[in-house]
Parts: sequence; structure tokens; C-alpha cells
Amino acid sequence: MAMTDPDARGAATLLVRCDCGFEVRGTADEVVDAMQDHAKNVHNMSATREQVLARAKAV
Amino acid sequence: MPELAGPCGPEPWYLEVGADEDPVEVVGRLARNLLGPPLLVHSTSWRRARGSVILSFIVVIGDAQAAELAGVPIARAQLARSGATEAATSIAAVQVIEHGLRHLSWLAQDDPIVRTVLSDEWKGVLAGYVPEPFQHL
Repeated sequence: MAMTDPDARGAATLLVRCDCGFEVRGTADEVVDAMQDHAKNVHNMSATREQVLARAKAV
Repeated sequence: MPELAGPCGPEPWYLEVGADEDPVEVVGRLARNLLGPPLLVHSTSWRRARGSVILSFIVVIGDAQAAELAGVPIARAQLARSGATEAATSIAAVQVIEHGLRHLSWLAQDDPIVRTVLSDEWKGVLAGYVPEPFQHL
């Protein structure tokens, strides 16, 4: 797994921001769960784990 | 006083509508889930943007609903004017809102259901808008 893959950052805290301004911080699992819930409940969208992590930045 | 607000604050609230979904049902359902029962869900315009066809809706909710959401006063704007046979080349969110409220002002006069559900305060605000129901945005 490449070091640039957010999943490879272990327990590092990640930040993911939605286009609407909503943002969430946490582990990879936490931000994926939160952003998938946000996408479904607020935007009626389905987001894959890969799509969420592609937006993630280590903080 | 009516304000712009929503789940994304005063920013436009974008929803995805699947090919087998009814846009009005999706907007109404998510509005109900996130804001409480809407008083009015009305489609006001469409445009091509973000690689998709964007349908614009105005959702009116009661004064006491979603009071925790950040809102901003409704600002006036010039409409994005179409050509005689072409759509406007650039349309800002504030222009979509201006058009939507002009559309709503027409409905407040013409549509008995809209006239019934809108409060006197809403009707007072809309009275300042020039009805323009058929402008293409």
C-alpha cells in the first residue's frame, strides 16, 4: 500500500471536508462512517470508502 | 423575517437525484428529515451546471423550525438573462434565488394552495418581487 493512501496512515487524525462546508476529523474508519452518513442523509448520495479517503488530509 | 437557511447554512443545498427517483419526493423527504415538515416544496427553474441538469427548489418552512440553522437575509439580485433562444451563459446562486422568489411571488397571487400556506409575512416579502414565472434560468 502506498504511503500516500490515507488508509496507510494508521491512527493518524484525518480531516475530510464536504463541498457544503461540513467537515469531520478522526481515524480513517471514523471519517468514512461520518461522511457516508452525511452524504446519504444530507445530499442523498452514496460515497465509497475510497471516495471519502480521496478527500482526506492528515492533520 | 424570512431568511435563507438550510442544512448547509445559507449556502445552496445540493442533493443528488437518482435516475429512478422523483426530485420532488427526494427534496420533500430530505427536507422533512432535516428541517421538519415543509410548508411548501416548489421547483422554480433548471439549468445546466456541474456536469448535470440542476433543478432548483424553494422549500418554505415554518418560523419555529430549524431555528438552530444559520440563516442570512434574502438579498436582491439582477436576473441572469437568457438569449432569445439560448440559456444564460453564467448563473450565480443569488440569481437562481431571485428568480425562484419572483416565481413564488407569482404563485402567491395565482395559486390558491401557495396563497394558503404562505404566511402574511412571506406574502409581504414577496410583494416586493416582480412576478416572472417563465424566465428560463
